[in-house]
Order: sequence, then structure tokens, then C-alpha cells
Amino acid sequence: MSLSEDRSAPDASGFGFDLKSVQFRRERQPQWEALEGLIAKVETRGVSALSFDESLLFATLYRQALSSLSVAREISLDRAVQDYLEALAARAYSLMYTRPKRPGVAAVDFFLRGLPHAVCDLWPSLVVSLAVFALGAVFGFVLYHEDLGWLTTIVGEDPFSGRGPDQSVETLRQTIYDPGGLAQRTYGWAEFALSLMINNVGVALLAFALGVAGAVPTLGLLFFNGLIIGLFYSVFHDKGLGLDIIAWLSIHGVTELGAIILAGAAGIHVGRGVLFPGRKSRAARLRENGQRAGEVAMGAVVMLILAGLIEGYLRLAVDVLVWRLVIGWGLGALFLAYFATGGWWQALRGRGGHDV
Amino acid sequence: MTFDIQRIRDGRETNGVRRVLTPEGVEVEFTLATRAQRLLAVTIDVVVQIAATLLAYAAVVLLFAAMTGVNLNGVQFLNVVLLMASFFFQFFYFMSFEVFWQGKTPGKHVMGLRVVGANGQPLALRGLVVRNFMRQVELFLPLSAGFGLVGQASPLSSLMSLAWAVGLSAYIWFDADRRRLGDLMGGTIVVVQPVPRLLPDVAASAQAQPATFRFTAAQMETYGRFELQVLEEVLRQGQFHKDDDVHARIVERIASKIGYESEIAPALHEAFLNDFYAAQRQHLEREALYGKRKESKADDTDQGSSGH
Repeated sequence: MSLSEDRSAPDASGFGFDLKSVQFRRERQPQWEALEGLIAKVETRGVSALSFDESLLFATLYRQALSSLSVAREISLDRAVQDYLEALAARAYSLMYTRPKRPGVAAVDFFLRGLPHAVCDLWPSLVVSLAVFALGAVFGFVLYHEDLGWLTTIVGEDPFSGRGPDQSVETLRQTIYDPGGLAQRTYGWAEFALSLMINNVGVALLAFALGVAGAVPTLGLLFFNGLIIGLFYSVFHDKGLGLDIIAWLSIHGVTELGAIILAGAAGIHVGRGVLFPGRKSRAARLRENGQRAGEVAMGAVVMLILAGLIEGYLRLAVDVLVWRLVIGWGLGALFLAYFATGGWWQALRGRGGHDV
Repeated sequence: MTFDIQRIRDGRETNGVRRVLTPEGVEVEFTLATRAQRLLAVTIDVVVQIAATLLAYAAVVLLFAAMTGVNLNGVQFLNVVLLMASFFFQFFYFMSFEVFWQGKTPGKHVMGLRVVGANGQPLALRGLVVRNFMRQVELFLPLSAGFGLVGQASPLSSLMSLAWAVGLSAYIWFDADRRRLGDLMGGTIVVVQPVPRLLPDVAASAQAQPATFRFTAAQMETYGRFELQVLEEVLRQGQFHKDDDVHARIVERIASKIGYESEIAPALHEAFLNDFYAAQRQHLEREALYGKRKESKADDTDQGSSGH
């Protein structure tokens, strides 16, 4: 070996210059420190604090840090450098990629395409969800007429705050039309509608999240909610106020119950992923179905907020049966059309796919 | 000795360490947050949620009292404010923070944790949405069912839903990557925020003064990368070994192993170790240039075995 004379007598005067690793560190350290500076800036003041040039620099320095890391892993005998680069690269990575790209744009895209698309994707679950809910409602109606005792068994004493089978037609009618002076009760109603909305959002998210338990609790929730609607309707139906109560419920209920049924469908979709993963791993299918269904659940939350607003304000302002029906079902039709656009997108994409 | 020799022998800590493949093709390392850390973080967050709700309420009460006399409508209006605040905090607190604060919530920030994508993909917005929707089952259901036990709801049904919810929340204890169900569905893991700290190069400080000791090539053949890094650790902790005989014992051991004949004065022990470290590192680096990598003293490259 040509270095044999060197090896017998290592250069004692200046071996530091001969150490490639010392040189490596000396050359790269300024870049690492610059990256550290940018990381600190993003952490304290947010991504928007970076100028355009700084963002570019961040990306460049991040890639350089990664390349330094792979070099250090390969050749470095110096632990300090390797440990440092491991931490630096991981930290930079978590800022580089662990940040949803522009939440505002993502939100717009979600409402324009993601949500309708996801709803159309979930149509088999949607059918099941609607069927179970309807079954519950029919069951409630039948039970009520079978034996009034079921009412208290299922929902307890005074379930619908004074709207029971013992009330006269006139009392019941009063609860539907102008319940006791609009002006004084506005805040009370707002509070009531708001707490109902919070409760509904909780129920909707529960219906989605419990899908992970094979959707069994979700189906139970849907059925039970249907059951209560069936019982509630029966109380008014028997006093000849059937259409009135449908109108009263419709103005916000089409949106609200639609949202609950959507959330139920989301839960069922998750449950299907857990129970029938098919050829993928259960975890992979759960992730895939969960994120698709999560979009639908998000849509349900938005619908419930809208329903809450209608219930709190519009329902009091609109006192006419026909208008209640028109507004309620009109909104329902709008939602249906909106979700159907997802199908159009799919059809368009499908056609595009054939062309390619 | 005061340093953890096992940690160095293993190379790096591996318990709870996961490698994530970056789009650039280099794997980066993350240490998973422990379950206890995450429990503490979520406890902090719940406390912050409650405190923030009450603060919002108090702020409006004070504002109202300052501007008008409090009347009945006012009180009900305040309830609306309280409800709105609690609505926002219950359903959107975690989500908003994680979206706008690069995967951190106040609790995670205090505990030094952060959410990252598990499979090396960018953290998707819908992943964050799902992981936080699942809290409805994993966090709020057990909480409300727990409170239901002391409330007016039937104890039996509360107990049942509590068991149900706790069963689902317990998933985190069985997952190898310490994910909860929300992480599993959102494709995320929660990791300890890495803190880069660059320690000075021992070789560079050794280089500051000219070497006192010289070694022959044959004397450099004994040790490998592992021993070098142990020595690096010892030298870093130099100030802790001023009063004990750790340096003396190591010097004695190295001298006898490599066959260093001359007597070494106790005052020169540190200088000897510094010089030996520098010379050994130079030697190993040079050898590595020719493709000969020696992992440890047990590593006999001629037989092709990699010693550990």
C-alpha cells in the first residue's frame, strides 16, 4: 500500500485537517445551523412567517440535512454528529410534511368535490342507514297503536315536554303554532335550539365513531332515533294533527334527520371496513373507509349546524304549514342535488378514464 | 461507570423508535410518545378546554355588566354564549390546533409531543379530522358515561356504555405503535418532538494542541467503531471523571491491549486518551475509505463476520 510509510508514523502535527469527518462537519455545519434557525422561526411564528425565498431555502436545507444524515449514518464515527442530524432531519421533516397544505384551499375543495363525492361513494351504507331509521320510525308508530304503555316504557314519563296523548288537540296545536309569544322566548329558544344542536352533533359523531365496533351500536342508534320520531309523530297523528307535525318537523328536520342518516351511513361504512376488509389488511381498510366516512361525518356536522340555525330562528318566524313544508323539503332537495354532483364528478372522471 | 454502556452497545435506543420513510427516500427516526405522556397531554388539554370555556363565559359576563344592567334576557343570552363556547371547544378544539399548529395542541406542546403521518405521507386534513372525530368515542364517551354513573341516568346503562367505551379506548394499550383508534384511522402516530443538539467534536478539541503520544499502525488494529464511540462518550464526560480513577483504568486497559510499552504519567492520562481517540478515528476513517469497516474489536473482517 502506498500509504505504508504514513501508517507507520501518523502525521502528528496536523491530523485534524486529515480527518474527513471533521472537514465534513466544518463544511456542513453552517447549513445545519441555518436550518435550525428557520425551524425555530416556523415553530414560534408559523409557516406564514417565512418569506417566499425562505420557504425555498427551507426545502433546500431540509434536503441537504437529509443527505448529510445518510452520509453520517454511512461513514461517521462521530456519534455527536449522527445524533444531531437524526434529530434535525426528523424535526425538519415534521414541519416540511406534517402540515396540511393550505387548510383554506383544502376546505373549499372539500365542499366542492370531496363531500358530494364521498356521499355518493357511500350509497350502499346510506340505503342501509335510511332503512334502519325508517324501520325504527314504523316500529314506533306500530308500538304506539299496539299499546300506549310502550310510550312510557321506551321514553319515560313526559318524554316530549308536555306533548303527551293525554293533552287536548288545542294544547297540542299551540305547541306547534307560536308557542307562547315570540319576543320573550327568543333567547330561550335560541338556547334550547343550541343545546339540541350540540346534542345532535354529539350523536352524529358517535354514530360515525361507533362504526369501529362493527357498526352494531350505530345501527342501534339509528333505530332508536327512528323509534322516537315514530312515537312523537303518533301522538299528533292520533289527534288529527299529522300533517301539521310533519310540517313543524320538516322545516329543520329534513336537514337534521338527513344529517343523522348521513352520519349513520358513515358509521356503517366504517363498520363494513372492520367486518369485511376484503383483500386488504383490516387496518388498511379501516383507514381507507374511516377517512372516506369521516368526510361524510364532517358534512353531517355542517348540516346539523344549519339545522340548528333554522330551528332556533326560522321555525319561530314561519308560522304557516305550507311554507314550513316548502322550506324544509326545498332545502332537502337542494342537499340532494348538491350531493348528486358527486355522482356527476364520478361519471366525468370515469369517462375521462376510458379515454386514457 | 456513570454512562449507560448498554445504550452504546446497542448502537442506538430502539425501544419505541420508528423510522418513517420520507418522500426523499431517506428514513428519519422518531421516538413514539409513551402512553403516559399522551394521557398527561390529553388531561392538560381537557383542563384547558374547560378553563377556556369558563373564561369566555366570564369575559362576556364582565363585558355585559360593564355595558348594561344584567336582565333576564341577558342571563339567557349568556347561556347561549356558554353553549356556543362549549360546542366549539368540545368538537373543534383539538382539530383546529392540530391543523393550524403543525400537529400540536397545548397539551402536546407542554409535553413536547406532536402528530406526524405514520406512513411518511403528508399529514392529510381528513386524517386529522378523523383522528379527532374518534375522540367522541375514545375520550368523551367514557367521560360522559363516567359522569352518568353519578347522575340521574340509569346506572346500569351508564355502566354498560362505560364498559363499551373503555373497551374501545383500551385499543391504544395493544397497538405496537401506540396508536389509538383515531390514529389508526387517520394514519397518524404521536411522537416525541426531536430536539437537535450538536455537541462539540471531541477530535476537533483534541486537535487544538499538538499530539503528545504517537501510535504505530499495528497498535491501531485492535479497536473498532464501537470502542471508539465508548471512548467518545468517556471523553465528553471528562469533567465528571476528574476525581475518580476511570481514566486511569481505561488508559491502563488500552495500553495493555494495544501493547503500548512506555510508562504514562497520571497527569497525562487525559492527553493520552485524546490522542488515542484522534489517532484511532483517523485510522478507522482511512480504512473505511478502502472499504474496510471495523465495527468492534470482535469484528474480524477477514472472516467476514460482523461483530456485535
